[in-house]
This record gives sequence, structure tokens and C-alpha cells, in this order.
Amino acid sequence: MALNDTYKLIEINQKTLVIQHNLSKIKPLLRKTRYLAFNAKFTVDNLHMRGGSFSALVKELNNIVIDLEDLLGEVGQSSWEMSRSAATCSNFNHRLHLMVQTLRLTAEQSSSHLGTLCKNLLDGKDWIRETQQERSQINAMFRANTAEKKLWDTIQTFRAQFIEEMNSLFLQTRKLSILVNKINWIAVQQINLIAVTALVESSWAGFAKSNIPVLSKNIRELARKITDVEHLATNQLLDLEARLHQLDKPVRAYLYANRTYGQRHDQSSAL
Amino acid sequence: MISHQLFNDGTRQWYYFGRDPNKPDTLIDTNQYLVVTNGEGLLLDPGGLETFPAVVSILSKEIELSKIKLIFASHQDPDIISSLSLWNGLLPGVDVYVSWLWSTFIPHFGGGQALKSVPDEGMTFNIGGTNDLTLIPAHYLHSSGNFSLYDPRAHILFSGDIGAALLPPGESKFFVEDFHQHTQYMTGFHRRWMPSNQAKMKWIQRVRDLKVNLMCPQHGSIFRDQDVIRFLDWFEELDVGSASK
Repeated sequence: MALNDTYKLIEINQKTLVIQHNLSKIKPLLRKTRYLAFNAKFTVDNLHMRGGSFSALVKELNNIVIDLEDLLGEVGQSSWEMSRSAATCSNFNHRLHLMVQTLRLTAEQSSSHLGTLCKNLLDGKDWIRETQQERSQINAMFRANTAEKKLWDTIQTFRAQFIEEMNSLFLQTRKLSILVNKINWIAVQQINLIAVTALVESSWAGFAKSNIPVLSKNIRELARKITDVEHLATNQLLDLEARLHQLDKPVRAYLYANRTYGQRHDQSSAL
Repeated sequence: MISHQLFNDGTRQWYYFGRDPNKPDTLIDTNQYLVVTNGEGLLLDPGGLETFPAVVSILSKEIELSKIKLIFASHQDPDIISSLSLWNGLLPGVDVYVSWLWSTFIPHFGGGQALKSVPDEGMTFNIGGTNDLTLIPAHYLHSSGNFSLYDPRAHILFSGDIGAALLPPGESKFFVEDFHQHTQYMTGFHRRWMPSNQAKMKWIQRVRDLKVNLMCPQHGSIFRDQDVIRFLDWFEELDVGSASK
């Protein structure tokens, strides 16, 4: 993670907003699905169709739409959190940039090593990790200069806040991926299954010429559209995760080195 | 960025920080001031996010950073206080004073700490065992919640945007040397940014009652002695709130 990576975090924020926008397109599709389910129920009632199986299918379809709407609510919340985290990370990174710049200016006249370290950080060196040698050299220098120590301590605090926020961003991304996968499973497996079952049942019951087959086809078409939106979001999420991984690599290494990686890994797995 | 000591009586010191030669042209030049009383610092209009590195590095030569106890923002503009989040990071728990009107707006610059509200009538600061640094109402000049700060010991008036001059590149006189020539850099600014003649007259009346040796604005050159009087006379005559048709 380099100080001049701020724009990459801004990019992640923007990409999150695009994903959020794309996933919101599922909402009107769900409204249409609900409308078709209502039509199907109306047809079933009019035709006095066999047994309760059609009614049960329509009811099941409605339940699925409700589940999907709930999931979409969670997706909205999760992607909002992601976007907020990415914005906060970019803000922290910019603040860190300015704080390192401050330390560099302050150190320039008193300590060449600290000035060089700051210059390297500003030029793109990974700021998450520091070598043991750097750490001891820096600590030795701070005995002499209070202003530099104060600035360095502030940088460490900002760094800890940044790492915490990156961790949260990473977890939110994982959560969003899982939610989007659930949407896919419901849309593809469940809705399609119901539509096909309805079609088969209607032909068995001798209602092949009723509008049930048309409704069934339309419902499948909507499921396909939902899947298309989900596929697009999945691809965008994969791209975003790859970018995040690039930025997150040193953060993970840092957490691992500080023996908090296990805890974090557990959190990820629990999602 | 240059540093200049404006006053020192052994107990109190006034410092000026500004005129940064490395400042990008896209940023308006700003003056920052530090008042130190018995070793404790009050920072006046600490400046924007982008000027923070230069301000801190030069300021740390004059005072130990942890000795800065108070920060005061004359109003809410970004060139005054957008560095708030960095100051809060550097000095957690430092008291930041602003007009009550802006106390919930300015935290949008970040930092996550509550600000101290200054009532409309002004107040005095307790710092370094003294309480003579006084905030004088300067509302509508130019902000709706705005203050100047007067030091009766040093006879210095920190006037914020009142007396500000937009100096062209290459013109960087520290003190006003030719008042009449200097007005060309102030006229447009004051006519446009100061909206109320009534508010202007109230402020002038208040300041005429004070002994002011130095009037320190947040932009441009500092006024000394007779130039302070010249400024008040000039300002009194100026029809403000009249630049835009």
C-alpha cells in the first residue's frame, strides 16, 4: 500500500457505487415477477385448476420474491458500507500522505534518515510495513526531537485506523459476494424451477392453451434478466476484489505479522 | 513558509506563519498566527488541509506541539479550518473554538471531535494563566458567525478576513507600506465579500475604542499603527455588499 494509492481507493468507491446501481435494477424485475404471480393466481382461480398445487406454486413464488427483496435490502446496506469504507480509506490515506509530508518537512533540517524515509514513503514505498532496522533507527532519533516523535505517533495512529478500515472494507466485499451468490441461486434455481413446474402441471391438467404457459415463460424470462444483472455484478465484484487484494496484500501481511490474521480469517469464514 | 515574531514581552509572543513559496498557485495564500502565553499556545485560523504540512513544520520550531492548547477559527471557510481532522489527529483533545453557528457544520471537515461554541457576544480565552485574549463580534464580516481577536497586552488585533488583500504574484510585502496603493488589492474583496454596511459600522465602532498597534488579517499584508486608522477610515467609506449587480 503506497501513499499515492489514494486514487485506487477512490476508484474502488466509485466501482462499488456502480455495482450498487446495477444491483438496484433487480428491484423492478421483482415487481414484475410479483405482478406475474398475481396474474397466475388470477388465472388459476378462474380456471378452477386442479387441486392446490398451482396455488401452492404461486404462493411459493411470492415467498421467493419476498426473500429476494430482503436480500436486496441487505445488498443495499452492504454495498453502502463498502462504499463508505472505501471513502474513509481514501480519506485516511490522504491524511496519512499529508502527515508524512509534514514529518518530512519537519525532519528535513534535523534528521536526514527520517527525511529520506518520508521521501521514500511519498514516492510510493509501502507504508504499512517497516523494517526492524528502520523502526529502531527511528526510535533512536525520536529521543532528540519531540515534534518529530509526535508526528510519527500520529502517523502510527492513522495507520492503525486505516488498517482497521481496510479490514472492514475487505469483509464487506466478501459479504456482498455471498449475498449476490444467494440472489443468483434463488433467481436461477428457485424461480426457474417453479416456472417449469407450473408449465408441466398446466399441460398435465389440460390447460396447455390457457395463459399459464405464457406466464411461465415470462417468469422464466424475468429470472434470466435477474441472473444477467447478477452476473454483471459478480464480474464487477470479482474485478473489485482483485483490485482490493492488490492494495490489501500488505495489510494482510501486517495483520499476520501482528498475529491478528487468524482472528480476521475467522471473521471472513464466518460470513 | 516564513515565520516572523510580531511581539514578545517575555510572557507573551505573537508569531506569523505564511508566504509559502512552495504553495501551489491553485491555493489562495493564507496567514496563520500563533499566540503563546507562558509557554501555552493558541493557534488562530490554522489553515487548510493542503497547507497543514508547511504550517506544522514551521510552527514546531517555535513551540512544542503538545503545548498548543487552543485552536480558534474566525469562521467556517476551508482556507481557515479544513485542516481540522489533521489537527485533531495530531493533538487529540485540543479545544477548537468556533462561532456556535458553525459548531456542527465545521466537523464535516472530519476529525470526529466536538467543537467548543463561541456565543454571539464573544468571550475571552483562558490560557497560560491569563484571560485577556478577547473575541470581538465581527458577524457578517464576511461570515454570519464571525469573530476578530484582540490582545490588549500586545495591542494586536487579529481581524480574519477584514483587511484581507488579494495580492498578485510577486507582491508579498509583509507590512502595508503604501496604504493608498494597497487599497487596490482590498477594494474588490471587501465590496464583494462583506455584505452589510450596518455590520461593518458596528465593528468599526468597536475597534475604534481599542488601541491597536498591529492589525493582522488572514490574507495579505499586516497593518501597523497609522495604517490601522487609515484602514478603518477607508473601510467606513467603502460601500460594501455592492460588487455584484
